[in-house]
Amino acid sequence: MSVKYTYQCYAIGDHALTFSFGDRIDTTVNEYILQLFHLYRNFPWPGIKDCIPAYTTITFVYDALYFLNRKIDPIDTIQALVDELLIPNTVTHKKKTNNLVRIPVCYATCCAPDLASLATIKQITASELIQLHSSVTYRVFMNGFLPGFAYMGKVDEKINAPRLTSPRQKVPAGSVGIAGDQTGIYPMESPGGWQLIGRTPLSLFNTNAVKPCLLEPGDQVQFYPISWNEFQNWSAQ
Amino acid sequence: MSIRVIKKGILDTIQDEGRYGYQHLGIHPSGVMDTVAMRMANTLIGNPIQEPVLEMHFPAPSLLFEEDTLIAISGADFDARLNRDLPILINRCIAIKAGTQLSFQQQIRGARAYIAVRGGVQSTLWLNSAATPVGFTSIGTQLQNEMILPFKNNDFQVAENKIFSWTALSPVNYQNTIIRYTAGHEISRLNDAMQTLVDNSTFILDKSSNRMGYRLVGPSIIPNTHTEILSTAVSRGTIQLLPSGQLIILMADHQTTGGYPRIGHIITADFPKLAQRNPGEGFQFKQVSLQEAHKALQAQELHLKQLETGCKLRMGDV
Repeated sequence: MSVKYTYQCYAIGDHALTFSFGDRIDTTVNEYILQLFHLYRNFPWPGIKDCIPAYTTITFVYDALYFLNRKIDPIDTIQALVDELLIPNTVTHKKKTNNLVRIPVCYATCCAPDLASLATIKQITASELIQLHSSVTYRVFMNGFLPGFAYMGKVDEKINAPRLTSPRQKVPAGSVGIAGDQTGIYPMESPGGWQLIGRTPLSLFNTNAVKPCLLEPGDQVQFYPISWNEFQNWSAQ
Repeated sequence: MSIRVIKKGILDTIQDEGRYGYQHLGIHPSGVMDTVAMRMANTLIGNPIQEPVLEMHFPAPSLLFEEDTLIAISGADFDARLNRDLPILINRCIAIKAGTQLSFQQQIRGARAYIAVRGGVQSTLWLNSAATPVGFTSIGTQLQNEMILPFKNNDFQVAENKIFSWTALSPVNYQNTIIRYTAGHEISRLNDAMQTLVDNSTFILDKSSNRMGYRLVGPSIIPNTHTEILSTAVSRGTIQLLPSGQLIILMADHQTTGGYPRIGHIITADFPKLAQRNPGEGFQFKQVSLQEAHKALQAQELHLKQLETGCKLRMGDV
């Protein structure tokens, strides 16, 4: 990666700082963000409580008193640390191999309340929609919204879909949805406004697991169709 | 044996300063709403300041102490009584004799009361934190009837129930209804008139307000543009502008990222004031600079440090 990225830096209140590298979903920019994230994780800085990568931003949550008690400016300090990470070559050679996760999805009507209407609007058949959704390898751009919720993209433009005008009060855990050119899976039952086109029997968030979230930023994801029967048997396992 | 829950309250949870280090996975920090009250309660009885505490709402629980201990109650005043009779004040160090019942009569002021117990109670840790996010039964501890909260260690024996004479003074002026914020990245979406409206109006907490967020009832705030932003980090105190023109403030159980315009961020020093507001109560916003926010935090910290020193000296008398 030889591009030199420039950022805009702004405060998220008195305890976090965001570095923004753009305002559009872009794999190259996100790749860059995640490299910064991993560089930071390998050598965490004192006074930083959290580092949150998103589509085009990386945010550092800091302990303001850690810096203020030492009479150093948190903003200047964190900015200098980020600038250091941005020196070309430190970033270039540390590309992390992305984990590939295959996820079974039941696209049957009982699991996919919005599939038929979406197919109609898009003037394709339900099976074409399923084919389009499950033939792409998606990238997890970021986690957010709920523990283990992964924002994945991009979906084929033939099936991209606006959010529902009035969100559902209850979306079942494992529901697979589309919003714009993103796709995602609800890790737990929650309210939600994404159009639901399927459901996975896999558990996306498990507090007893060593790795509590099945999907993490930077992962590659492939969906493959399973029948309602397989879904039920999966759940019973 | 230690504390037995005779009757649970509406929402009693074990909380600490929050589960940090996992927001990149979408795992939110959670933790106490009133950070200062937690610290005061711990300080009063000589606990480490980060010792997990019990956060209670009203109606609050009835608790039976099955062993002698020291406790302190801080934050909201729910008219605490020992054995349904002896009134005890908040921000005091209290010696409790085994067999004593602690209950709460009425909500005098504030929204969340905190109990710290000498040495702490054993709590379930997940990812190194005792914080209990609401809605996740597998994380943290929410009190249930007949639940036992064992003490971590019991180094205390008392002759009788006793309220020690000194009161700790909070650095937070909870009566003050001015909540300070710093400008958010999307505040430029509000023209001058709209920004003035934010600063000159009284906003009331909607009844749906909870540990996740406070929904505000007030004038409609209309931005120049309605476009959503690409999902990016938000934090505790972030003031989001909903498409409906209403504002929402993210609290302890906030999401890690969001797509609504962020018009401001409540300053850390004012989180406790906000945490003690009840639905139906109002407040006004006041914009301050980042420097002022940090100064306010440092002033609060200095006060709390002095309190720690004072309490350490007092502990000699206990």
